[in-house]
Amino acid sequence: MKFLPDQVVARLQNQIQTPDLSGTRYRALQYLGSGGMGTVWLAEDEVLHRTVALKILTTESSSTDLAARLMQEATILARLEHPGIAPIHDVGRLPDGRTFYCMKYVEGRTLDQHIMGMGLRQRLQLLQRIAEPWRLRTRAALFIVT
Amino acid sequence: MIAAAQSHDPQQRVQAIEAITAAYWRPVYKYVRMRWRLEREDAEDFTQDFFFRFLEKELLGSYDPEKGRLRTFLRTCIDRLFMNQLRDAGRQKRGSSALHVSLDFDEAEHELAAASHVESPESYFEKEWVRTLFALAVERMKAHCSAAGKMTQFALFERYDLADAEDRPSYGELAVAFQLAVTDVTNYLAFARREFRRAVLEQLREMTGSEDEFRREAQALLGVVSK
Repeated sequence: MKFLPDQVVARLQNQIQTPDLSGTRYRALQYLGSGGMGTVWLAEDEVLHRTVALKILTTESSSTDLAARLMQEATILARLEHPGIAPIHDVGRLPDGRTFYCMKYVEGRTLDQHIMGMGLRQRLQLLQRIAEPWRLRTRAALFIVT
Repeated sequence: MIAAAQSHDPQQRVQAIEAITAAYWRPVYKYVRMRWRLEREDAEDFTQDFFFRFLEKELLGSYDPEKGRLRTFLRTCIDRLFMNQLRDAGRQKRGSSALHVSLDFDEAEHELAAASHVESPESYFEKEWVRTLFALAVERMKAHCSAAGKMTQFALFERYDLADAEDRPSYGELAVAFQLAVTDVTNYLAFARREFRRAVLEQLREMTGSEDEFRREAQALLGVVSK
């Protein structure tokens, strides 16, 4: 077994974390965050020359049912129009088999940063505003499932 | 892999334990050298003894994938076994020859000598785990490329991605050396990196105790960029 020096391990780790977007219209720009199913990357749409957010599954779809869940999530979101929901532009599959969807990149602050200094009343009002798109989304999900 | 290692079928169990041994012996050996300051010969005996106990189902029988990661379990077992052996001064050597895995302790010693000793043994164990995972994935990928007639892609990967920073050629230099167009070098390397990623996931699946652990490890290893 070949010994891999620290710098090579770090390089390989960086490479496998960065999504291979060859064959797609996107170019990865920056890692934004990760959730239960995958990671979100800031990317450039090289056809329309705009920045977008790509949500990409961590593992290949063949190994899990996550791809179906990601597709369902994209389908639900694509049906909804609401200022609190980022529009879905595209879905696809990377050369390594992972599913992704592309959505509008919305620049802003995190919720933690946003509510800093807010009183309870303001926080509750904000919660109400956040709940509205969630209500719509849940309804749409129920509609699709049933 | 873990299910096979806990199996009642001796042949299946030996094969699984050998795979686990191949994947974990280096991190275990280096960990006990660093954490418990064992002399080389004692660390070698300990490492062989440790994996032989797995074969006897003494250790792995108590592993529950629901309760934690396999490598955390292994590290806990190492510490526990060491404390027990310390207490039991009259311990006997086990029949480590039952496992047919080559443990190159000379090489491990050489690697250990080059390691930074400023980090904790626990974080060193984690780091060695990733190093071993990647090294085994490279071997797996090489075998796959060989079977698929893609050794040029592997050779490019080896020359470029596995090279030390100072020896790293440019794409142009690789194109000349391999008599390819630069665009071919780009495409071949993209293919090789996809293969490497796939091999890492396959190897990771064998080195984790459950599907849930596999997903969490994959997320941690492949999903988050540490910047």
